[in-house]
Amino acid sequence: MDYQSIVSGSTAAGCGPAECDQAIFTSIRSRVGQGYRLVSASPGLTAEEKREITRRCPSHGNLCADGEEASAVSGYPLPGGRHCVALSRHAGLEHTARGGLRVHTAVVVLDAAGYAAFDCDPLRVQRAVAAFGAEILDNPPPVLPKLRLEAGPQRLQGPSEAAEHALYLLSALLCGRRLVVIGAADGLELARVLIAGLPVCTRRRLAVSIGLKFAPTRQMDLSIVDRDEGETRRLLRGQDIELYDLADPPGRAASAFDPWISFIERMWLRAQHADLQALTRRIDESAGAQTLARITALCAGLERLPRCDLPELTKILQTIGPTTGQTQVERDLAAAVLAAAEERQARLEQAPPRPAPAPMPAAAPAPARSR
Amino acid sequence: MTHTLSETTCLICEQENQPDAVLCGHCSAPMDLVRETIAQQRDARIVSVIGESNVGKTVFLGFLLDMLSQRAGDFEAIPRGPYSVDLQQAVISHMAHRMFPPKTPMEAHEWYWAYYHVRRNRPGAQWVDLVMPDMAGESLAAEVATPETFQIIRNLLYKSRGILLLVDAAVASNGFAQPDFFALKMMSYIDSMYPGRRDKPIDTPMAIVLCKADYCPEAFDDPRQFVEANLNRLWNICESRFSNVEFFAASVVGSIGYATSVDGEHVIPIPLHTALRGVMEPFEWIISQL
Repeated sequence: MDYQSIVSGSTAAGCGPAECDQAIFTSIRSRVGQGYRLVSASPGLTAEEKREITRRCPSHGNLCADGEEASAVSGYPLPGGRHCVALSRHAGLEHTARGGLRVHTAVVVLDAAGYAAFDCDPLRVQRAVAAFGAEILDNPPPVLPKLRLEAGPQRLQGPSEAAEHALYLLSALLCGRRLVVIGAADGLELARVLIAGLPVCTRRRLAVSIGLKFAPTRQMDLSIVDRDEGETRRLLRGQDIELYDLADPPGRAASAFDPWISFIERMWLRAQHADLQALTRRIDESAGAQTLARITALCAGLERLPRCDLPELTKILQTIGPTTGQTQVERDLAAAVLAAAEERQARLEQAPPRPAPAPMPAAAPAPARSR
Repeated sequence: MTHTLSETTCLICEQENQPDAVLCGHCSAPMDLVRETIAQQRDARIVSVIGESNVGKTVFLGFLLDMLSQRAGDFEAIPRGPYSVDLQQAVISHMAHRMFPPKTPMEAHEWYWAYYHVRRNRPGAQWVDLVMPDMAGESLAAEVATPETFQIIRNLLYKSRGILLLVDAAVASNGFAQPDFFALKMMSYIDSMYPGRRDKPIDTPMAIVLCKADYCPEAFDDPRQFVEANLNRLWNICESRFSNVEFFAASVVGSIGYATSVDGEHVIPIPLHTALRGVMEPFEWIISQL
């Protein structure tokens, strides 16, 4: 099913470069201070945004991995409607040399349109920043220029690890649960799959970190950490945050989002990743359980229509109820269902009547019974 | 107790939590603090040690707690909960290996907290319950620069019954103004927490501790004069807005050496031995004011 041609309207995705503010959060000694703080920023950052970035950026010893090459990505909404994507790396010894490596976090801030150009996917923004190739400066200037980032092509692929992990986590995120995930072989890959399965309006409000140690003050909806030696479990006690251990996962309970989750699973199995991308990109108004269930039903109808008979066609048309059409994507899908149903009905009505089956030859009389 | 606490109410931010919470879900303070307070049936008094990043708060507080544990200064002190010993153990262990302890992260759940029963070893002396957090200097700086960045700091300072403000005397004595500016901002922030009291000075006991005074021994001779001469902005705001301030000098490291990192780009200070001086006096004064 070609959802890309069905769901109409232009999107900001892939529409030219996005202009971003940027900032650097790290520990250096300068004339006006020392220690972890925002050492550089472009002039467009507001005080509220700086406050939020300071709260969420990692300080000393807060990357999951210890080595020089360790890195982490985080993305979260900011007060005022913009979005922050942060790339954290180790950058040599910290200037007080009290053990551990300095954490350097490069931050970009995009407005709603700019974030939509990246499909509200912080990992796509992170790849664009990495492609920009900015080096870590020991003494960055206090004022930074704006950046122009271009969204590159997105790798479309289903989950490489067992899909049931991703399906569980998707269901939990859609239900609004906060999660800490441990044991992923590739945290970035897991995050990519999860983000691809979420409607864009859910991605827009999602706070996610990959490769940062869990910290309650970071207020992430999804934290993917490398491993846990018990400390994360201890911190999560009594919090409304669920720990998901890939080595010991809980069973998935039924939820109102099950129709959407089953739909995602079918799309992955059929490798219809481009169609999934087109569809999730257009679900930008509401991602409640009922909306997603209606969308799923409309998509299922579209898939069945080319082969269905008249009774089933009637049933499919009944999925277009009075509440369908509340969002643009539903209206587009409903219009496609109607058009396809008309075409199917016409085809069924024009089809030559099936020939009556040939009469069965008369049965030979039964032999008389001998007494 | 002056008010009824519940085991699910955070001692610092007074927000509700679940019964099995280890940390407060709002400010990341340990929930053991309120449980201990309820168990002792006494109000815990918060004494905050504040100062700029790298001034030596962790080392100062670690040694202070260790001295109290060893009944220095005629004090008897009992830690409540094994977590209360973590800070002094970390500091003493590192210093014994000629290393300064690791930098305190800005993430509040990684701060050390000490809850101690303390009393003078004299007839009739009352037990006092003290909560002393080891806050990150960068978190303090961020909160001062943009209030409400870290609400836990505001709550801690507002509830503090005594405050020790550590200032880098060594840097100040070399003519750099950075310690003076930080101290001024810190005092101004504390002053601004009481908006309805513009005509009355703040009477919370404030001990101004001149750290690393081994670099400038004159600070031991007359801490007041040292502050007036080298930290004049701090001196002036203390005079104008704070009615209960005392000045002290302190030093922890007896001698210090310097090494370079393998790449030669960083100078690493090595504490060769400790020689504690002036660590108890600010604490004794704060206790006498409570």
